[in-house]
Amino acid sequence: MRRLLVAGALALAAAACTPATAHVAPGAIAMDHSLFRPASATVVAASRLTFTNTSSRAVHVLVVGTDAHIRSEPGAPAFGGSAGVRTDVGRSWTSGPWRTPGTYHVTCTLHPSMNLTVRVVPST
Amino acid sequence: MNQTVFQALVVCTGALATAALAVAYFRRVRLERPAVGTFNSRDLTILFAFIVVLPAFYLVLPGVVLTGFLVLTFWSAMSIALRPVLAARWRRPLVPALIAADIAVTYTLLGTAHGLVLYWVLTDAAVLVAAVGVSNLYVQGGLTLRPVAMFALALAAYDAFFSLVVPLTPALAQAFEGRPLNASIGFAYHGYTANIGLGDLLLYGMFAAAAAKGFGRRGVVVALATVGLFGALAPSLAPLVTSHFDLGGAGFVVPAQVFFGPAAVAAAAWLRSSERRLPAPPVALRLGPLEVAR
Repeated sequence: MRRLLVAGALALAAAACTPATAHVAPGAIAMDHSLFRPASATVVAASRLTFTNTSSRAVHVLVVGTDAHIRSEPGAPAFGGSAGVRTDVGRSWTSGPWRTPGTYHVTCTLHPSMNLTVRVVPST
Repeated sequence: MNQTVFQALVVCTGALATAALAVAYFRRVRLERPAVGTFNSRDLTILFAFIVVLPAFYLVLPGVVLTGFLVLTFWSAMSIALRPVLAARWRRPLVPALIAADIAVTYTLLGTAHGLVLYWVLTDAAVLVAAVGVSNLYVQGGLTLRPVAMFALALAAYDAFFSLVVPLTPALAQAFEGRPLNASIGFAYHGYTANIGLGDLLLYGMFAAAAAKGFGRRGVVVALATVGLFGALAPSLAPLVTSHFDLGGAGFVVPAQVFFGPAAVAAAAWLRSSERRLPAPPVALRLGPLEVAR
């Protein structure tokens, strides 16, 4: 019985720890437990980004800023107001259009190591 | 200030506050004990089995169900702790209000710096009350220092295996992040974040209260030093020495029991052996005034 319990716990832990796949489509940002993939994205003005929580367990709260520190960056689209953008496991969220050319930063208030740089270039 | 210093400050504060409050509660408050006899080593074995099984169980639960379990757990633990110290007309609204506020802040304010601070203040209050109350329930129910220390040693083996070999404990800590009633004491400020789990804190509370019960002021001093140095400081600073203890970078301190378990056994043994070496008190002191008068 004891061996069975240990084997069960090991199997659960192994299943829980399977890494999320890193393959993402253009304009799509994957979030594993502590990183954005890719960590930087270049988009044409007026495009949107879709964030998907590919982590097996972690909730993410997205805001504009760096190192879990909220910063105001004029020109960035709204990120959910005071609640931030809460994305549960397996859920996606699509940002508003990134209209103003420039460089912006997105982070998760719960995970300081999650930092995304978004470069918005003018449409030709 | 870097993450390690922040982590050490937060974890030391949480661990020492829990241990010191557990001692203060033990000295001043008598809990209504359930009619189940006294707590002993067998009860600790059952508790150990729960600790082994629950994390795996929690990981497979959907978020809403997990929150439901945590609400029930914290509601009952806080009610047990506050019953002897707070009149029902205050306690009955306070406990659900604290839980409701924690849930509301989790879902509405985590996108702000102040909201994150408020989330941790509310969570810490709930976890502190629960840990102090439940640790006293065990110690006032009959548990002594030696079985608590042996329990810590068993948890050290468990913690090492399920953190360093199979990462079940870090997975559980990740699953609690950003959810209501995160079962840990922690804090986040200016991009730094740190926390230590309820299981560790419960053990520190039990160890300090049992040391106070068995060895008085000397026991309290030794227990607080053991908790501070080996339960909080050592695991917080360990990632500086070896990357084996850097488990995810979200500021949760695991496996704390790897350091605390052996230290707890050594501290308990030292207290027992040093007590034997002390000269026996005069008969009048040992008997107390009532017996002397008789």
